[in-house]
Amino acid sequence: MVFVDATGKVCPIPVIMTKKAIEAGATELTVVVDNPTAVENLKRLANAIGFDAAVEDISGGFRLSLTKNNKNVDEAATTATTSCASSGSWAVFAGQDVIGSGDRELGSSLIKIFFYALSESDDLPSHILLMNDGVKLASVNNATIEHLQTLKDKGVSVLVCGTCLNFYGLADQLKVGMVSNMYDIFGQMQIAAKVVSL
Amino acid sequence: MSRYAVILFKSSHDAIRADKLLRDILPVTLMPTPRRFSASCGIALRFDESQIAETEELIRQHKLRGTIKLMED
Repeated sequence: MVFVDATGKVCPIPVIMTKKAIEAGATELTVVVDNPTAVENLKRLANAIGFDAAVEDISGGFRLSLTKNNKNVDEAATTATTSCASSGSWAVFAGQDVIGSGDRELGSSLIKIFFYALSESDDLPSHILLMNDGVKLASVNNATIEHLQTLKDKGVSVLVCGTCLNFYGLADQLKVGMVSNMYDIFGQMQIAAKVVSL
Repeated sequence: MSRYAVILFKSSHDAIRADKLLRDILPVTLMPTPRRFSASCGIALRFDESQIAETEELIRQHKLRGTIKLMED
């Protein structure tokens, strides 16, 4: 059993330390980290290189037990796990149905053309997170509903705050995306390499 | 290759006013002005090229200061 202490280390260091230990021949490892991004990255690494991963919450962090299994190794995925801000790992958060503060008409036009541009982009976020007035983008704003649908069809997950839909009486008017909650939305923010807030 | 038409505007006020006036009549979509027309304001309106005649008429009726261009992508 090899012990890797990556406490206090941020991406990509925990993954690199773990990879080194495995390259040196370790088949059973205990890795200790203190941030959820490292947990997600290590789980992806384990999956890519044919290891099983069990995660345990410990005081001040997480303990991962990695054990070699006999599954195939995916070289491409192994490389991907050390790139911290790789595409697909970012999220967009909209807490309002406009961009910025100032004139509402302008802000509303800007958010429509933002989602138009995003839907045509090659580098898509993994998640779009909608809260407060942002839920209107997926329920009553026809222009943004269309763009969000295009994004969803391209594989982007749209998570919509259910509390907010209820608050505004829009629960039965959701047109695109999945009703979600603070734990899921917060969880996606923690996993994402970056969160772009509108 | 798909073809569509855009209306370019001199000011964002014109673009926002045009969107409000036209969106209930025609299927128009607000979009960023394509880069090669960067001399215009940053907000453009996209619509189907089959509706150019109708759109031109509406632009005239409402005295919207916009120019129609054909796009391919």
